[in-house]
Amino acid sequence: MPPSSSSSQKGDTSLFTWLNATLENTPLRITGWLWLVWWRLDGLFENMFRIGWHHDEHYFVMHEEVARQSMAVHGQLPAWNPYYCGGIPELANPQSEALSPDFLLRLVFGTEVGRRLTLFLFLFLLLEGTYRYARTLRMNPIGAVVGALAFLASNWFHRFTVTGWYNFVGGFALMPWALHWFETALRTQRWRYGVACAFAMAWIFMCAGTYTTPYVGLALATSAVGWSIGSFFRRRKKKDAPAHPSTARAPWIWLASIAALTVGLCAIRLLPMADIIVTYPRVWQGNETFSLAHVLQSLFDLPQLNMGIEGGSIGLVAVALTSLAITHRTGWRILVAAGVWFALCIGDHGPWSPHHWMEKIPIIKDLRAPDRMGIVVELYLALGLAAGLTQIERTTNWISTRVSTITGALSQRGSSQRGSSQILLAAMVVVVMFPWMKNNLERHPIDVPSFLWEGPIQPEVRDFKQARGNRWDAHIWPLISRGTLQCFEETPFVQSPLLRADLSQEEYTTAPNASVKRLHWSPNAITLSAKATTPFVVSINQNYHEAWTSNMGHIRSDQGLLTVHLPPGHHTLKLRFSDPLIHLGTAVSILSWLAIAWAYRRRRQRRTRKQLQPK
Amino acid sequence: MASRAGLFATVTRPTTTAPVRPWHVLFWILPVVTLGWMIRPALTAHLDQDPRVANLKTRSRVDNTPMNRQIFKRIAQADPVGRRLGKRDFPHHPWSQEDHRANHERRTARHVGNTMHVQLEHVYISLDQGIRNRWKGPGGHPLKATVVPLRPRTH
Repeated sequence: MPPSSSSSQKGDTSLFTWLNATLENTPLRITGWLWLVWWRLDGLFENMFRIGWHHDEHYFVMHEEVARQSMAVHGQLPAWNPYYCGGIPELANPQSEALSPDFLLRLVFGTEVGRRLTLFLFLFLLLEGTYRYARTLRMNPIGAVVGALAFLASNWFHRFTVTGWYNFVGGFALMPWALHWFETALRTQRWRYGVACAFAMAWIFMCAGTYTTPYVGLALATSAVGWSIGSFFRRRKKKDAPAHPSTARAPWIWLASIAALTVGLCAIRLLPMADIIVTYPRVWQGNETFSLAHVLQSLFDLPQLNMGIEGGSIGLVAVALTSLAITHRTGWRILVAAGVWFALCIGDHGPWSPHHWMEKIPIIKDLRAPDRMGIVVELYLALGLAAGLTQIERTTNWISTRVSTITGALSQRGSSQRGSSQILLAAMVVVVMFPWMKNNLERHPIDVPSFLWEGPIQPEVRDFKQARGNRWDAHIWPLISRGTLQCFEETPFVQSPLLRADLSQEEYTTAPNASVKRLHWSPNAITLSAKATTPFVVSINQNYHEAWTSNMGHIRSDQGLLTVHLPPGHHTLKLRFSDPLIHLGTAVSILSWLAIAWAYRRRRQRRTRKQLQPK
Repeated sequence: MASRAGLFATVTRPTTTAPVRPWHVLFWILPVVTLGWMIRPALTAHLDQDPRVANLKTRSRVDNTPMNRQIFKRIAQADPVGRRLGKRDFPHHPWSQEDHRANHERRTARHVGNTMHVQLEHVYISLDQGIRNRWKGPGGHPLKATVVPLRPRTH
């Protein structure tokens, strides 16, 4: 935590001091956050086995259930998903959340319950992260709390929850943490904060962070620019000062170090995913632009524009207070960052718009829907609001101290007058802020999953088979041991036209006097008994992928269908999905974790040795 | 002062955090108890009688073949309509036609589930059973057992 503000100095017993001290008490604050999230997600822990109505929610439930079954039931890494499109990579799928730290909740409590706990966790992290980041930016606890509330009130979280995009909720909830740890690392020059920042980044990436990872990367870069400019001015002031780590290039060294560590931590997904992105580039839907009125409506909820868009969260009252941030020592950075992201938000309007140049950066150029960047603007505006309130508090303290000095000298009643003025100000803030906040939160409630879904069918339906299926109700299929051939993926995976939904058995041969029998089936490994008197081909009713291996014969693609060419005889054929990139990524990730553990141990040993040395 | 930056920095600065007193730990009882109370239903969801199992008593049976045939028949009857709508709305994009048909089928499945008082998964299992066993659909033909391969539209 940064040092306390002037208003909470020892001996100062004003209202603000008491309030700031209370909010600074972590257990009390956390309890407050818990109640707030509980209230915001009213009914979250009722009817636990229901899920949302939106087809995207069904899509994510399906992916998570497949990953959960692979790990919890079959004891395998969720490398392959045979339940969708006739078989596609799971771990390498950019939209998969498998192996994200929050996925542990799905493993322990099941997919439906785990998802609800995850949502609760993310909103809690959002509040605490925004608070901590605001404190890092030297805002007072009262301002930081209001800033966190303003960010929670963002309509984007309502939209993400309704559509089941918990990966977006998680990514943006962790964004303030990444920024907080990055700036704390810069300020303190302690590597443990750099590691924490890398961990936050890795979490964001693992949590299907297709958009959130580049967004947070850009936000960190924006922060680094701010620090570089700031350090340049600091150096100019003190020409003869000794070399200090906060030089203009230091933030970039930190950023590069954090990026390298992030890559190491999530290599297990990053490597196979990079291969997928290169092999199957995402379908780009063309240039997307938004009018200024559209973005303003989305952000500030301006009814007079009447754009027919569901309003945003940062009301005009908040914006008025945010403008005061310009007088705060870190406020200018926040407002500039908000301005930059606002300019990105409106999309590509030609060479004068930042988005036009952003589209020249690899990977980032593939991001669509630039209006989603509005959520980053909302974070910065929420922080600006915190800075504005901090300035009001400081100004009030300053004025009341001066007034009390003058009147106190005359009447000896200074402290009571100062207290009265602060109560008056607090009342004003509450009167202005509370209705806005209440109105905003009530207008945009976060709908908890409410669709009537009572869970899977009777256990007798167990043998995995491909069905024609239906991607609009994708959540049903893994629970009834059926794959859905009808599907949609943002990544244009290859789907074989030979896949069928009317086979009596999923592994078959068309050769005469030949037979195939399934001995064991799991998502990533199939064991078959196959026999024939002549060379024959065994077809598996799944898509071909080069990572499929077999203990005998040759694996081939027949119009995208997985087939194995076998010699005559009676064989026990073992097929396994074994992606070398996943193995390499696993090794890199494990080594990264070991390196962190080793560095931590080494520093501890050094510290202990130093303490034991006689003075 | 440090001479290096990034993860290689060797600077150690005194912290500004206030010292933690032993009795401060007691404060943590409050959030822990609050959290435990809030998420209690989630923690015990699988320990209580699983609603999935409880529902089995009142649920329709998927091995009820006559009923499954009836469900299949109603879904199959709507299949040509879905295909026609797909062709009308996306005349030049086969995958989108298929996707549109599936969306229509989804609505039909819900309607059938509601009117016949069966779970949604029962409807889909009946459909799968009918396609797999090549039960006759409209015009005396079985329903198509293949789909148009994935090719999302670009605009």
